[in-house]
Amino acid sequence: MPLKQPELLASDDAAINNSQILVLETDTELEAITATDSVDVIAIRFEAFTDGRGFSLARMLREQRNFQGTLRAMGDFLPDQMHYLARCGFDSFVLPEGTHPETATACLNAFTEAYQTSVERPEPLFRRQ
Amino acid sequence: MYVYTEVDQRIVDERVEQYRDQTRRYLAGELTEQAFLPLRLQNGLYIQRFAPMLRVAVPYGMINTAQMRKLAYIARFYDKGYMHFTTRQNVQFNWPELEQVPDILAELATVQMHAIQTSGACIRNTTTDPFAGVLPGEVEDPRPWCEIIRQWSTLHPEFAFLPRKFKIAVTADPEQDRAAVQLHDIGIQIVRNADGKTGFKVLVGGGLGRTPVIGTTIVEFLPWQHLLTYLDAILRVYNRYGRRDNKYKARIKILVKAMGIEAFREKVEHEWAFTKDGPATLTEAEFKRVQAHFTRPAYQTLTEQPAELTTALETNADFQAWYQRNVMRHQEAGYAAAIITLKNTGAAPGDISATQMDNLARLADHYSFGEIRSTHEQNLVLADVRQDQLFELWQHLVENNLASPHWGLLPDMIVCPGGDFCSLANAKSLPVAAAIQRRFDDLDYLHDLGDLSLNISGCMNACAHHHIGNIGILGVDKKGEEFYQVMLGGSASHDASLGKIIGPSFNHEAIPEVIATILATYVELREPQESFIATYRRVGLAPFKEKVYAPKAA
Ligand code: SF4
Repeated sequence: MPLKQPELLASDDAAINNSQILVLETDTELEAITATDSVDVIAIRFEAFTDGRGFSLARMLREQRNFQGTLRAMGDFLPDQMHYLARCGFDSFVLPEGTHPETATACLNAFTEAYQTSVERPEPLFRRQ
Repeated sequence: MYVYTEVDQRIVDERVEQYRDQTRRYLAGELTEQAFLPLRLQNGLYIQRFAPMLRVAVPYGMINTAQMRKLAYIARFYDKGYMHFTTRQNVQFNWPELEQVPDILAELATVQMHAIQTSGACIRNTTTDPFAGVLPGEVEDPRPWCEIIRQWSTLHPEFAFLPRKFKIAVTADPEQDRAAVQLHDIGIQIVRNADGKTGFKVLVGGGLGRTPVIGTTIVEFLPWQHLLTYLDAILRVYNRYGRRDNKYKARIKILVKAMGIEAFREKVEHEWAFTKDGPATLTEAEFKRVQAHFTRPAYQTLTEQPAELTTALETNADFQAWYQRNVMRHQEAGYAAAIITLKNTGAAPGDISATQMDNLARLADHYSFGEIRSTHEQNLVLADVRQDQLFELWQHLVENNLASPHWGLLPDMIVCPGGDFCSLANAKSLPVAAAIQRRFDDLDYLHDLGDLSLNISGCMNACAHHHIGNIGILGVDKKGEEFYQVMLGGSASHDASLGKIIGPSFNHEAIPEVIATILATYVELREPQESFIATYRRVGLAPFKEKVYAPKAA
């Protein structure tokens, strides 16, 4: 089961500013976010690609807040992280400068299966086998 | 032993191809050094002082003989003909070429091995008791639970960029903790409650390194179904709140200390409430599926202490010495577990040559159902040997220089690679170990000293766990010179404790004499049958300190 093709944006893409966007830092507390119902897009900005907090925050927004809109990763992340990011609930990526969309798509689809529960596959492998 | 399903194999194969492409992009200049770093680390490749090192996962220490032969082949073909066992039951190659690592990983995948998450700020290899499933006394075999944790932690999408590395250990023996679970980020003790139900006592925030801490209990009894959701909750709290500004303060032990266990537990329970009883709750069917891989081998009906063994013990003193130290009782009548210590004077502790690996594979096929285990003390175990074949096995081990009768004795040290290999080192550790081994080579004296652990780390990162050696030695830098701090009283066992520094540090030449004085003091003060650690706990540091720093008579 391949991942759903997400939205891939370049950093100068006009679509970035088209809709109601809430931009969060990776260390934002879930309790501090009130507007999840009134925005179409929530973007999480990565200061550094080693900052794993944004991965958890995305899942919490999807799984604990049931956020159904677009969840966008922006800032400093690696195309090689996109597979994990997508599984944590991101479905839109502002590609870091110099990233070929083909590289991004290949990275995104690096794995066809996974053990854990995740946003796009809420059942773990052992319940699907 | 666990056998991959089609999906397990596919995930590992896809990982090899992913890393092959990452290596290609790095060499083509499409990936920066900085971006490539976490990717190669999470595939086991890190750069030491002289060369890249490749660390390969040995999940909870289980190796079959096909895997051992493959490792021997890799050692010959891609390396310098040997390999190293680490203190996390893993193996390490010291001289692979970066360009060839994807090929090595592809070779490993053919025997169901990988290097996933053996380095980097992620969940590392889960370790356990090397005698799991064979020694009397365990609540149940911990290995199915380890395999369940291995699968859960492998390529976990949320926890690949943690503040720091994260280590989990599991034990099922309430009396003898041979996995040092109190000294891990998460320690899991398998227990039974009053109704006979299986569950886990979970400890959190233990660890060594610069700030050694013994773990704190976060939950006394976690019913088994909730293992993975509870682990997810702990990891999430750590991932969200662990410090990222200072790598020496980034381990979970610092977070637990800073928050206090009550507040930490509250956060974990809060996260857990969202997933508890959800889809990641373990099922009976899944446990049974995994457990079915760890069935007991086809043991024969044999008697304890067969005549072959008794006769050999009576007639061969060397065999007797090895038997006394290196053979453990077994759950099954007529069987025993044999320990192979990889501590030969001159060679680095944990090193094994490709020839030894091939020969050991042959011996394991013949004498121990084709399986070998690694221990966190950098030794190996043949876990299911017939007692009437022990003497034969021993003779073969002697031919291969694998029969040193030192298990748990002074020469069976845990030693990090230190200044000879590691760029972080303050001091060399291997020559110090060799000097101690040379000084104490009288087997009778060593046996008389009895159980004694000695750990040597080349710097504060404590890769050799010097804080939990009965005697610990730490390399320190004193104005550009290599010095050694000595500490006493550490223990990794169920009564875990951290060593105390005895006093000012020593230079390299002084160490064997210092150890000799410590040992002589112990022999003088001990009561009959009293081990080194028991004597130390009774008399304290003072008498040792007094003797070691006494002015030398002219
Ligand atoms: S303890 Fe220090 S010197 Fe030894 S291997 Fe670890 S980092 Fe290197």
